[in-house]
Amino acid sequence: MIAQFILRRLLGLLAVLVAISAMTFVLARVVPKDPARLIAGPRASQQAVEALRERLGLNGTLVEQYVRYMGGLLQGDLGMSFSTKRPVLEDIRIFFPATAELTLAALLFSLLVGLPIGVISAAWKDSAFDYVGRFLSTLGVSLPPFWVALVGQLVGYYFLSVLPVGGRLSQGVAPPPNITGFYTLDSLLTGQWGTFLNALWHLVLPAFVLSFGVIAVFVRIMRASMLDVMRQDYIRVARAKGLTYSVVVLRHAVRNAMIPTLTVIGLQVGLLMSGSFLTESILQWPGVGLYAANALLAADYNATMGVTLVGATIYTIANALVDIAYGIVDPRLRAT
Amino acid sequence: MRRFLRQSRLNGLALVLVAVVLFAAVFGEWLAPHSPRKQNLADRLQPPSATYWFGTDDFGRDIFSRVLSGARISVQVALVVLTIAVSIGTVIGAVAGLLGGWVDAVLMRLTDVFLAFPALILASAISVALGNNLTNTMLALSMVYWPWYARLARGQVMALAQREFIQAARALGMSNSRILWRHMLRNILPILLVQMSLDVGYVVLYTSALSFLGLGAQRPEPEWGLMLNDSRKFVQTAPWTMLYPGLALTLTVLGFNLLGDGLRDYLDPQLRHQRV
Repeated sequence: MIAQFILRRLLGLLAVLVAISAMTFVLARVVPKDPARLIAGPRASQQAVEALRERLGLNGTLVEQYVRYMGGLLQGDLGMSFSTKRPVLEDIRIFFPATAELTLAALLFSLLVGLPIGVISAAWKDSAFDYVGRFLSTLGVSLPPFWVALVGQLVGYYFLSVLPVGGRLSQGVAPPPNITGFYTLDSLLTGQWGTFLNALWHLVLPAFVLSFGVIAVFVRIMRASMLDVMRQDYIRVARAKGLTYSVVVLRHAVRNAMIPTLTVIGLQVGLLMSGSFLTESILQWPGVGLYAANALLAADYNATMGVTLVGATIYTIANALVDIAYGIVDPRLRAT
Repeated sequence: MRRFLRQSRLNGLALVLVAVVLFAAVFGEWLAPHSPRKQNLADRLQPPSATYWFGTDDFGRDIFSRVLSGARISVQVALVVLTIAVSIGTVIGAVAGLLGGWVDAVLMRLTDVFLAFPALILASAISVALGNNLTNTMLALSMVYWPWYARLARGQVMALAQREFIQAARALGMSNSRILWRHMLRNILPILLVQMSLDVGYVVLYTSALSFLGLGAQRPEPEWGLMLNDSRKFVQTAPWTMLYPGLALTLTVLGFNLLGDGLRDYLDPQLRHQRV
């Protein structure tokens, strides 16, 4: 039963992935007036553009082009980035660990802050805390991350001088040996405490900026889910047994309310990825977001489309995994 | 109106913020004390003063006038984007919900593909493919938003189809399109409007984000995200260049988000019942 469910979801995932690649093909080859010019870059000569058109087979029919495009994708060929002169997939591989480290730090921080606020807001509904919490969570989704980053830089670096201006490590600090690609984890594993603290110090502002919107989402969902659970009969039974309110909240309600909240983590990956575009480019965090933002500015076409494709793939896989995990935990969902 | 205001203290704040933004969007260009686009290099990077309330930028342009004029761009973009998204989404969703079968399956898989991309990433890819300007930003954001409305409209149409008055209309021999136009649209419109009010803030935010990345509005337009991008070089020396556009953007998005939340709670009878 479970195997069948997982298989069905995986087949669905495969179909969506094929569709994503088709969509990127349309964006990359069909929508632009002159894809060869876009791929070659704004500074390429006319001859170079013509040569590229020939080489990429952009003169052929759309079907021929699609077959060639998909053939390339299956071999991991996302084209060359004309700003870094490297294959786009290679670039993404280089920049990915920085983004993964930042995103995970932001996610962890959002959970640590967002969940307790959501629980307290729901447990003491319509109290002053609830009002402030709800207002702050709306404010959280309303704050432009790029502005928060600029203000954070102004206050943390220029006014108070307690935070670094950007980057992953201070100048002169050597990166730790590459194990996971996460500077904090790698320095910890190799016992380089100085590097660890330096990496952590650099992580504070970007992770804080990136977590803003996500904290707000967690507060809202945790609060709504807690309110839903608190209406259930088993909570009433627990209260009737004479358990104190805080025990009922902490031991009975929170655990059950956690399930729907945890499943939306998958959806937050999309929000975090969109946010990392902006956060990384302002705080000079050398990840995929900064790479993508630079590619957009330089009109580096292959890099832009490569990041789009990889981003959508990761997002889709994350959601499918959460979906499968949820189905395993809750058998009622397997039928749908 | 009274009941809406009584429902939550935040609703009053929402109305005030949205009213100010709409006022600025309509009258801002006329009320601006200086031209939002004209350069005045003699007065570049002036701190806030009696002449320049919010200071000036590196071209000597009055930031207050630019912030005021920027409201029109944001509101205009949001209106256009949501109008296109709702129109496309409702038609596709309603057709899928009404006809069902393979039409439904094909159209819904199509929306799934659009929903498989993180919003900002899809919007920037479309903007890059079309070329960088505000019109293409509007098209790109419409492409990001229509699938949500298609899903919403489909769900509503499918629920309505079970209702007696629709079955009666069908028994009378009414065609699908007539049922849709005469009976269904007016029933799903309030729900679509609430969803639109929830989305306005996000569209404003994404528009600024795209302009900030260099994909949307182009210089010298007084667009808030573009102003913030230009202010990056002066964060330390002239922080007012980034403070006020950011504040305007935040308060606008906050206003629309609070209004959307308030409207949803107000119009959702289930929630209202709980409160009582």
